[in-house]
Amino acid sequence: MIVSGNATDKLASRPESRLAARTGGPTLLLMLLPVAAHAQLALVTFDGTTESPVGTTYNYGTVSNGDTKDVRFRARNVGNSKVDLTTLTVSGTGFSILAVNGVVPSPIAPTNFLEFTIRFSAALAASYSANLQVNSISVLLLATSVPAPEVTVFPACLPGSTGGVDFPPVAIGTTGGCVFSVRNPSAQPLLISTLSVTGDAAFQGPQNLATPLTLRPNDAITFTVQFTPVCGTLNYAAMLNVNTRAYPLAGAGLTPPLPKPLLSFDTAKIGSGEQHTISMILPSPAACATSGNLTMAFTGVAGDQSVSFLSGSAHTLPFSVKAKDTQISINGQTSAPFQTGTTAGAITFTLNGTPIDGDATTKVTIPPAPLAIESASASNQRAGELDITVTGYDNTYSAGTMSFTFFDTGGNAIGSAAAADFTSNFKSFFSGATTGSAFLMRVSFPVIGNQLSIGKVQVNLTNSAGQAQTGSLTFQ
Amino acid sequence: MKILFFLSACAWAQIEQPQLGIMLDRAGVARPVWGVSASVTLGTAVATEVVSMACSRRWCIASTAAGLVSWGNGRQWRSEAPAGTAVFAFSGDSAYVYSSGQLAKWREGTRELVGVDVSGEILSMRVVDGALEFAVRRDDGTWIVRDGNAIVAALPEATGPVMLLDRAVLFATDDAVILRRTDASEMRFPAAGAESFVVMGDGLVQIRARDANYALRIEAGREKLFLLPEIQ
Repeated sequence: MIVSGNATDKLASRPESRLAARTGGPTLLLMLLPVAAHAQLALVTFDGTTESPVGTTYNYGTVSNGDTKDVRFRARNVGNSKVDLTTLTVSGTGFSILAVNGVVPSPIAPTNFLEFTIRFSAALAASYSANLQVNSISVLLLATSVPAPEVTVFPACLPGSTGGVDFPPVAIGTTGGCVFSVRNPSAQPLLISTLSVTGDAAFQGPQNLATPLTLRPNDAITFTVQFTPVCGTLNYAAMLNVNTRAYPLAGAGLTPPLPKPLLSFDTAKIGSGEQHTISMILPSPAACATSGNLTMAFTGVAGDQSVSFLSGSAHTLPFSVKAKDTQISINGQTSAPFQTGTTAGAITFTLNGTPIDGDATTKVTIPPAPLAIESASASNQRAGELDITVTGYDNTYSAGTMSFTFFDTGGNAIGSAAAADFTSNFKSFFSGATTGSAFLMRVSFPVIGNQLSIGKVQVNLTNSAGQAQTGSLTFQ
Repeated sequence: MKILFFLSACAWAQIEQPQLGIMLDRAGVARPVWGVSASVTLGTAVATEVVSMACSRRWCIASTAAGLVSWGNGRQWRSEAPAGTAVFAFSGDSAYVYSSGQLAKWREGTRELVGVDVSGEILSMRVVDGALEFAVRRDDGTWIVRDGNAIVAALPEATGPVMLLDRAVLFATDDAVILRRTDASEMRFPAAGAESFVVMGDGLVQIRARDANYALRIEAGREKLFLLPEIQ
């Protein structure tokens, strides 16, 4: 029933008014019973957490044309004895009983209640009223249906599956947005009392638009809702509130790939048998805190497990970078030490565990080199034997050919250098080596005669990359 | 000439993986260190729950939670006492062990107490010409002394661990480790935060620092500092 302007008529027909007219006072008992029951029954609304008393009127407020609004009521027994709830009706256009959490009639025990929901369905723009009757309690329900603004969203934003708007994904650290328009489709001016965004703070807007504002017929306003996802959250939700209507907004943040790190070493030239450090920086700050793994792998003329980091796991270390920072921390430090092993080949450093804008793989070439001699000594302490010991490595795995030049105690060379080929010995040794080419070689020469007359020896060792000499070793 | 020709024709070679020494990791595990300087790998544990350790060219001795243990040449000896922090000095096939205020001579599992009159905290020991020398820390500084507190030398810069070596002394300052030879020549190595030294073997000392484990090759003319891997 459209009640605009005729509320008085409606009030005149309220049941309680009718009850007073009917009772008139024939008996005292008939007079007191309803009054007692009325006083024992209280009508309240319930918003899910709080009950609020209802007076003789209850206003649903304004509801947009085409929308509905539900209110939960409770008829609560506040007396000390049961009350029979016998009447629950709503009369009036637009209002209806949506649900009753129980049956009518039924008794309500002290402190108990019966809950029911009254829905208002807004149709044509007008004022509405209805009478809610709960036993002897009459409540005038009021509501106003107002024209609904027409909300439009423009590409590339799309209507979402829930009747809202899906924002295009936005890279974290940047801002995207959707352009909306609110139009007055009716022939009367339309008051926009509410135009706001609530929910995740990643959604912001509208900017520079104050409410309330009035839209003339067919007029529209446009505005932007900005979406700025932040680190740590990928999915976002909010509501665009236009008067009484709320439109769900949904957006997704995209974690941007890490800018391609710059890998650097403590020196430009790297060879076998060395220890160095690797460090990593970003050419531009990371949008978000990121972590991953730095892995080193080796390929060469043979496997070499001694090619490894020197702290933490041998071949993989965690790295991390803070948001807005360019320094990458490796295993908690600004750099990571590693050793290059004793094999010619290439050490490849790769990053994984997080998207990277480009290929950050860095390869370090370990060139073939002549034998490296760590230490060498000569001994004449065993009778009939001259012993020569050489410790070193051969990163080409091709050692074996060598020569020995002996000197007498006066420093004079004894004949020409004696050639020897221990290639098969080295091949046999290297075939079982997994930790590089480091070797300890003991060469013994049987001696006939006075071995103490031989004072020194110099060893010349050859591999595919060149020659190396021990220097002059004194027999002792 | 004839002799040399004969020699070369009969020479034979034996090739094996070089072992640099034994290191003591952060977990108190003694492990062999294989390879060459700056390119090493660690072997499997040879002793656990090690508190203090030292290795000569041929054998090692360690103080463990279970007592003293020494090993070398395929043999091993144990003794239940003493445990805890210990200082060692090799003397041929024997070793002097200073622990819990007692000095003893250790040889193949037997301990023989040795009387000594040295005041201060004993940091290191060595045998020089058959006599023991001690590095001691006192209120008035760090000294090298002999029995009876006879002063041999002063180490005023030493604020950290000290290791008496053969014809050299290694000591730590706040930001470096210094190798000083008997000819007074010195070399500084940037190993900050040194907390203790361990003789790993012939010519190699482990420097156990706050953030890293180093090895220092001390052979004259071949000095080299490098990092040791850490097993985690």
